[in-house]
Amino acid sequence: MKTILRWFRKPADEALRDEIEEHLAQRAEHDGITLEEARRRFGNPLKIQEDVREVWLGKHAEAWLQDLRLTVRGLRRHPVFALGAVTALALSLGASTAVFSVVDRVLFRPLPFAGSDRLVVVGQSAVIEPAPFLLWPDYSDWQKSQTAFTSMTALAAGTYDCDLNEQNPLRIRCAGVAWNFLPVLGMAPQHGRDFLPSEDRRGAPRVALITDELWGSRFGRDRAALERTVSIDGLPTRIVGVLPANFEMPGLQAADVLMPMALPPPARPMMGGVLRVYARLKPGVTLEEARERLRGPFQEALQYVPAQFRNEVRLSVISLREARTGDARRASWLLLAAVVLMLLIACANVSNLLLARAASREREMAVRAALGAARGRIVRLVLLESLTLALLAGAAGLGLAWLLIRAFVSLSPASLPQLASASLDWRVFAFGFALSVVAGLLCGLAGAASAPRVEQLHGVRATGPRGLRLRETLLAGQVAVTLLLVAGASWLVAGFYQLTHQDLGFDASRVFTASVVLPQARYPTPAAQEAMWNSMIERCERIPGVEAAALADSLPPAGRTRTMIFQRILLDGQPPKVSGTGGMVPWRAVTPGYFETLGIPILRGRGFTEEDRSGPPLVILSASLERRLAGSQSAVGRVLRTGAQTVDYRVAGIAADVRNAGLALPADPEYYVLRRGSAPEVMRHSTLIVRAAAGSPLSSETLRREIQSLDATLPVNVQPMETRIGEIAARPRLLAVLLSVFAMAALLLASIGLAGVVAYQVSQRRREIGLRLALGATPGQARGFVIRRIAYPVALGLLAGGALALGALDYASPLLHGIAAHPWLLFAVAALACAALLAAWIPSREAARLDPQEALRSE
Amino acid sequence: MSQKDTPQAALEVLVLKTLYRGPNHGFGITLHIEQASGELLRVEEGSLYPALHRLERDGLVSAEWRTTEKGRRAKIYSLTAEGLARLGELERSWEALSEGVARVLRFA
Repeated sequence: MKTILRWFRKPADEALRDEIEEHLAQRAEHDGITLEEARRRFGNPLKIQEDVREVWLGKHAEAWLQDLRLTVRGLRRHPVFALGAVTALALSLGASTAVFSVVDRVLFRPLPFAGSDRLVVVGQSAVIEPAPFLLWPDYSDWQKSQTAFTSMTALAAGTYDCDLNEQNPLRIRCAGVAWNFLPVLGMAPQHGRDFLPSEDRRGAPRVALITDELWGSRFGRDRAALERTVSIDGLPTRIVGVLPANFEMPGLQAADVLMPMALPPPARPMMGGVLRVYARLKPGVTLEEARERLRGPFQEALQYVPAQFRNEVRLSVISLREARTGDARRASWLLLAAVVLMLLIACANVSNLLLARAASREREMAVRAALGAARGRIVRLVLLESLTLALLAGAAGLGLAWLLIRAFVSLSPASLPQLASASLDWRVFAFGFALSVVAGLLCGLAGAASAPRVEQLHGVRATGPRGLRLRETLLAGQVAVTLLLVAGASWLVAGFYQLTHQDLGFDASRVFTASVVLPQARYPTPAAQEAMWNSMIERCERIPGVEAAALADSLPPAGRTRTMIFQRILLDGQPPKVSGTGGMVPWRAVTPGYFETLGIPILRGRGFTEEDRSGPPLVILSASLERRLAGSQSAVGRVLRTGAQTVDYRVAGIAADVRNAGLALPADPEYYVLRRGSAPEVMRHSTLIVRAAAGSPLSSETLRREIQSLDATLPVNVQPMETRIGEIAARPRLLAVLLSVFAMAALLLASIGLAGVVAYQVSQRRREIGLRLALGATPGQARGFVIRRIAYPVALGLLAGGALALGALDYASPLLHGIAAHPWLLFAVAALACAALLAAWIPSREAARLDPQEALRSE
Repeated sequence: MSQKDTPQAALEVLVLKTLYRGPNHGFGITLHIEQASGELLRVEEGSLYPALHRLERDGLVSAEWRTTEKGRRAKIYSLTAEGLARLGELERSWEALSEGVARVLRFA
């Protein structure tokens, strides 16, 4: 090994040269001859260098090294070709590597839990709650009676905002978990200890596990933080341990602190106590088997579901990985496919380039063959060239990948937390390297396949029809793939545009939102809470530049709202005619200024006023809810009751529909209840909405300061409404951006490839074109001749690509709702045809400008 | 004066024997072999250096760059312990070879 290394250092070569020079000098001196004469008598210095190198490297290594030097030299002599090939490959290798780093986390990377392929998510799923869940009494029962799992654990559904109330209050996320949460998932605290079963009971002293990040940022990694008691939501809680650095919640929920759920002993009927349940499959038990084995417990649990809802509930056992990624998997596979396609295009381009070069080097190759180079050696030369190009491109591509990954992370939507942790780690690096090698081999294959034999040393100039056909096939493939990418990208971009420019039903401009949580300790009663909320609204209304202010417990277009089962809404005492639950209806508790602040029109009746707050209970329905409850009749003035309450609400008015189920799905019917200072309308956390007047310099910072001036220990999260909406559209934005980048790059590469083929055509057929010109063809006809030839592969590619695109768009359609795909396919076809024409036009000018005499004489 | 080009195997033992006398550089070795053989042997300079490097690779000689009295830099080779042992072996086998050849030639 050290011998090889010795010769990879340039100094070794130079040292030998010095040695020989010294020898020659002494010989010249001794024999009394000139240095040149001595050199002449000495022999061939190059041969000596080679022989010495062979001594140190052995025979084969010497041959490889020679070939490598030849390759590098050849590439340096043709920098344009080399640069073109490296750029094309680097673009696609870099993009592929970057996309892999993201997709890896969704599809392939093992989860940080021990034996994660045995972890599953278990529960019931229903129309009203599609994510699998179990109620606490059912969970207890199943733990005793199930036979499918070695262990089960649970997490209280809905991690929540909580406050670390000390000198500087910190808003963090808390999660309630079962005591065996960590062991079942296969993790253990890195410091301190885990929870004890005795701590998971109502009334037990409060304990908590904190994340490594919180330990660093808040406690300075001080070991003394363990066993310290802090105040969380005003209640003293002892920190007993620190979670490992690679900890993440199984469903990727955000959590800074874990605490035992500490639920009361299970008893039916139970409201609340909704749990997310994770379990570890017994060895050898498949998902199917687990479902079978759970059928009994599931049927038992079903008994407690009201009869009319029973057929909406299903048993759900899914692998943890699938539960985490959901439809991100579909998008990931699509992205990966797009990237592989890009790579194929780049390889096709580079293959074409290599083939063109092979054609011009045929003479050289044939001579080598005649001089005794084995065919294998020639093939090796070609492969070495393409590999070198590919590895160089791979290195450059890594730089590009790093840039792209940073861009992806900044674009990453909150709903895809895996993205935020994408980075250039060794897995990604290895993938990039492997891909470079594959690309190099692929590209080289085309060239190697057409390596000439000795028999071809007969003065035949060019690769005949065989080489050209290969290039045209590659071109057709390129066109097909590019069409796919362009069609997909334009479809996604159109969809994204529509998503973000649709009418949301409310006016988000100049609106700020401030979400606040009142700690239990300082505001223990609804009265105290309501007093604070009122002060906040008054303060906000008095800020100069504020047009309107309001308070609501939730906001459109997306987010958690309180909900009511549709079937339980009684209008004039009558339940609606619906089978089953009728789905969930979101409702909000709002102050009178809500509709004005958000610019939601009141269609009929009237909105809420300040006086109403001390009057009888009022409710406002959305137009679609009125339609569902009352059909074509008006609901204004009628009486509403919801759920198990005994309060009669009078319908004051009807509000216009607002997008409240995210940006893509149609709006759910909803209703608004006037906040009047008593539960259930009053909650500890709500969101302030403030509309600034036109031209007002109101900023998030000002708003935050104003609110905190009322109570400095309140952590307040202020955000312009438009930013909030932007975050919701983050995922489709990311996809649209990604695919557009690929499509544009693919279009560029395909155009370059096309131009290359046409130019090649022109150069190879100079005689023929010259002949035609001499026989009276016009320059225009000469161009037409050249362009016509590439029309066939391009048309073939468009056809094939179109067919593929139809299939692919089908697969991708769940990702964006309601956008028709086919017009965009046609657009893509047209765009590509134009691009092809343009790409062919420029080199075809060469054909038109050919001088017939010169062309006929050219050899 | 007819001079035969020294074959490779012979070159090895000649170089080792030369270095037995003391460290030397490439040209010095060439000169010594030519002079000591009474001009009967001539070193093919093209094969000297590969041979020297082969010996160095196999650990039979060691080399280092030194500055000569004339102020020039030259690579000086010296015999190692293994080289000494190998020299002994090669000397014996060469003597056996030449004795054997001589016997066959005398036999007729």
